[in-house]
Amino acid sequence: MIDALLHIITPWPMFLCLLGVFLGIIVGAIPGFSGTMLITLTVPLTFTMMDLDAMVLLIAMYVGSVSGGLISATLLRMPGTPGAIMTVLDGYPMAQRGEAARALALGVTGSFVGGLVSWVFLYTLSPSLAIWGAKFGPWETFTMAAMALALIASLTQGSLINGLLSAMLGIMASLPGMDPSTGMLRMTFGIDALSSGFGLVPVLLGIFIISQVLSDIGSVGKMPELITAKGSLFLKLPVWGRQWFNMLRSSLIGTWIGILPGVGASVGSIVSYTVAKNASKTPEKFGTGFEDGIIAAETANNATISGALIPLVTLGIPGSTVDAILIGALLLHNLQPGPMLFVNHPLLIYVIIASCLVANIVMYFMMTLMCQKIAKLATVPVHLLLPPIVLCCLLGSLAIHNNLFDVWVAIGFGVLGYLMKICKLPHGPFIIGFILASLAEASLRTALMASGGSWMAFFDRPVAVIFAIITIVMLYFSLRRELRASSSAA
Amino acid sequence: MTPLCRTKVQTVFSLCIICVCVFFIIDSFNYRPALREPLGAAFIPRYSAIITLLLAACLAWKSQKTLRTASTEASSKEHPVSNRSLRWRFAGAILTMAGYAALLKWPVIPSLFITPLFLFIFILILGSQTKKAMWTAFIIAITLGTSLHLLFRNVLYVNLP
Repeated sequence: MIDALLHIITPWPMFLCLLGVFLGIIVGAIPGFSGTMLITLTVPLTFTMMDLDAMVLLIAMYVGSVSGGLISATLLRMPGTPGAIMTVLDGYPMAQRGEAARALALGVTGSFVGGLVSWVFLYTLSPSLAIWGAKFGPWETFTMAAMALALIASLTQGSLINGLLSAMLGIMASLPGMDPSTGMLRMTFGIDALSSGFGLVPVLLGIFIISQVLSDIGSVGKMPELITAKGSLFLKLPVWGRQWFNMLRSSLIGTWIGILPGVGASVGSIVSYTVAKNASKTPEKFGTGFEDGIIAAETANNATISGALIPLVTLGIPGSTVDAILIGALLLHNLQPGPMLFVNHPLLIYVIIASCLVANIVMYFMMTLMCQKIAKLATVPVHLLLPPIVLCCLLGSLAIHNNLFDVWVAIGFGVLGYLMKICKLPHGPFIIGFILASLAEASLRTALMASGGSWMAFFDRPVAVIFAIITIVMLYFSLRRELRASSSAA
Repeated sequence: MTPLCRTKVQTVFSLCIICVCVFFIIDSFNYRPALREPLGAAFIPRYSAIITLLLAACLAWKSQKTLRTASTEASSKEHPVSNRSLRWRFAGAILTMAGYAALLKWPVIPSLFITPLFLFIFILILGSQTKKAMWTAFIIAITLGTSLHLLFRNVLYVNLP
């Protein structure tokens, strides 16, 4: 850990950290753009960087973008990121009555505390979880991947069927190309360009960015009205005294929700806000510009960052959609995510962990000093921002293998992603299915080869059985909930 | 977007998914399992295509069922395909991207020119077409287009024509 910190505080990584947080905050503050888009766009650009520096930059962007959503949520009444949805409920009313600086101060401090508390869990739990994960065999890996897919499909917003369909589409999109076990080409339909399959980066760029750009065409020309915030953004001591328990509770909620595969900052902030409201002696004040609401939402959404990194660095399972993109970055640098990453590249893991801490500290000071200035950037016309972003997507797709097929893949998946939006199919399960499919398939086939084709060997692995039971229970309760909701609606 | 429009899109999308799944299932019979491997290359594609086909059929059925009970009022989110005034922008955006990719493949014009041209056309498609807007688009396209082209070509060594 000391080596990792010493690496980060050298000039170039520190510059990348500052740049990443700065860009993350700006993108997070602009409604319609998210950290997912920024990180996806940056992944191909890190191809020429060292893996350590690339992860410092991407983690810094992650931290900055989750925090930046607070600015537009408070000053523009538009959440910059999904995690800032609940911040709008109390942040904007507080800003409207002339206390914008206080609202921002509460949000920034909550973000900082949430990030710090969840970082402690990331640092303390990761080594032991990685040791446990390194003992996994192919059955455990297969059932863990299936559990992650089932979890994200059932917990994602919308219906279970939509989530499962999205995950299955992601799995099918990963199938064309070379079979991982036998090396034969499959599902290429005679197209030579498909012999290496669909590249992860073009798919990410298409699904997350180009589809969002196509969707944003409808919102071109609509300019939000900005509230100005005047005053200091440092929180006073009496507020710390009032809010310490709320911050701690929200941090714990955000951390544990972040650990759940596929569930991100938005769910964390919603759950934390709801818990804070239910536990409050004055729940009627929530939604009127109440400081408890801002603290609960912002603390939890930043706490999900380190929480989501725990399964990523220990088991290779993405804790959120952004973590799925970070897996793409690791693969781009020829690093195989999973428990063995901790064993083979400990410095990289600790650089990721240390980057969270340093980025959190940088974010606190940057947000406190530059919030008001950054807010003005959120009013830049969308029609001027989208075209350069699309250009970066297209050239970024080309940058990986200098193959024009990847550009067409990005455009094609962009249209697919847009159609999925219309049909209310979430993108998160698609990407996680796309990433985990090859891992799950290779594990299952290895397991069956080792057992001579016998499925009964599965029952000799208790951890795998437990994962399978969790998967089935999760799907059962989600399906039951959905059937009840549809029958009560009828 | 009205429920009717969304249902049409969902139904067509589901049918397309079903067609792709059928192709996958048919193609999966071309791959035989290897001697020592019980599952083979076709197992996951075949069964994932079957599950996806069933889910897509559920989606189509659900959307038809929702149509009968949903209100006729449009939701607040305006999707380009449902709004006639935005459809040409939407089509223009896709054609511009496709045209740029095509021109990268067939280098009739150097990418140093087509990159700013792409930005210029895209900005005009998304924004207004007044004289002031065109001049703004032109300046931004030249500045950003040239910078991004040089960044990708000279710094990231992307093989641009």
